[in-house]
Amino acid sequence: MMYCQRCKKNIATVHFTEIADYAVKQETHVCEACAQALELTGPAAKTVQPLEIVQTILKQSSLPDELRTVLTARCDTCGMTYAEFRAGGRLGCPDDYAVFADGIRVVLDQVQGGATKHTGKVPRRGGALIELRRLRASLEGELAEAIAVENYERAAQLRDEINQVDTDLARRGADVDAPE
Amino acid sequence: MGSERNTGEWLRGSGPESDVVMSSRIRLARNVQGYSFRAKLDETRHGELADHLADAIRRTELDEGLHYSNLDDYPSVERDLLMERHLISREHATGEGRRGVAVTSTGNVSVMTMEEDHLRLQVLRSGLDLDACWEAVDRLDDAIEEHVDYAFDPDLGYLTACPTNVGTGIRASVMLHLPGLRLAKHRDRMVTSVTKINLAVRGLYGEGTDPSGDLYQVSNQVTLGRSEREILDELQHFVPRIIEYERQVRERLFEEDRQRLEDRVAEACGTLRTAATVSSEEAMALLSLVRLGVNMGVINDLGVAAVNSIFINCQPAHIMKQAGTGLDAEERDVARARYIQRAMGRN
Repeated sequence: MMYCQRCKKNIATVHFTEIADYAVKQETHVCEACAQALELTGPAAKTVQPLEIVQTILKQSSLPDELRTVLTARCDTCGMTYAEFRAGGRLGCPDDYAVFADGIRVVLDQVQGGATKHTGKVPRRGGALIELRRLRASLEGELAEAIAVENYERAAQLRDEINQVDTDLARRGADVDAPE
Repeated sequence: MGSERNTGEWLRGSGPESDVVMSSRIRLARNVQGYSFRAKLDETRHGELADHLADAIRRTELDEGLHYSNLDDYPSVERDLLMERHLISREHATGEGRRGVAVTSTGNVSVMTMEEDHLRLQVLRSGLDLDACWEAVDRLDDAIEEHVDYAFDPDLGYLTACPTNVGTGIRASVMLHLPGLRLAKHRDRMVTSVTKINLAVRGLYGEGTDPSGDLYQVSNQVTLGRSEREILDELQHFVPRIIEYERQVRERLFEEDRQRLEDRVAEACGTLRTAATVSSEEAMALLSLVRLGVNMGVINDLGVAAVNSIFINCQPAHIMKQAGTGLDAEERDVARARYIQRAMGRN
């Protein structure tokens, strides 16, 4: 327990640390009343929430651009910000995994032992669609190559294969142009 | 809802290694494509998804039959009852908003809707039987997926609200009864070695709960980068070592101080058979000794299944369900004492 450095009577409940150039310059320990008298009402003089800490950091101009980008990223689908996710620990929607990819990688490093690639089960019904869309994307790539080298016979063959995949996709009730 | 005695097949006290293993459980976390996770779902979309999932579950064909109910229509005692039977999580029991649960008549299978993830599928089995759990939950997952488009990414797997579940979305856990390790003061050693190899140890009702009744849940932590099979293999490799550890400690305790242990077990039995009032915590601690006594052959007039069933039936919501919801804590302790006496048979 520590007594207030100003009045020397009350218990010090407000602890203020002045930091300049990344080094602690001065520490002040005072009671609530003296803190108000000294106008020590900065973010450090009250209980701070994780989100507020992040917002305070964001205001500092010395923050590297890259870090700022990660921390200010916001998902258009659900409106979640990266800072909000880090404060609450839960994501807002499936798209967040892609929107916050850089940050998620750091999180996965901590909670998943650095693993980044799923090797388990694939949805039985939905998985077939994913495979078909993957196949279609790779055939499209091959088609573009074939055209580039003017191999029209191969291109025609690839077009047939793509049509076959599209028929398969349509039969499964999938939107042919949907992204993978 | 079944009678208070029908606590589910998984408690029948049989199954592999049932002297130490109460039950095995696997749950899968799944979310629906095109919908935000719970935190960012507005009320309209939330209701829409809850309806969609209820409908999908009703259409799901399962041999055992799957009965869906809106959990928000349930009185809180009914929700707590489901939690005490491990059919829903504590968060789901105490949560708010539209949410549902579907269970099979056997009480082995449950599906939670609109929990932390849109869907949580779970299968329980008596004893150490993760293979049977996996086979059943895998089938359930396929059956539900016939009617629901899952949020799935080829690289990251099943996408979940919390990155700790992403990938397989699997949490496989084994509930162990470890009174020997506590009596021999080896509990901390076990917890340290389990966490070292990346498995988690929790109390009876999951995260942040006390290991009351010497019951522990050991489960996988990592859900990404390993297949379901590999995750289960790791548990199946390690859990038997804990079981062996517990058995050896029990043997040694009985070798070294048989008389004192028999006295403690007899005392626990006596208290439970005669006390006019028993709190939930007391009941758990005493039942733990009784279960140990049954498994060590000290008590011969009770079976493991009966003790397992008392463990569940003496929880607060189960007592209220039997004796009336209006009871205060003290009256509940009296009702609990009466129930236990009936179940154990007065001597």
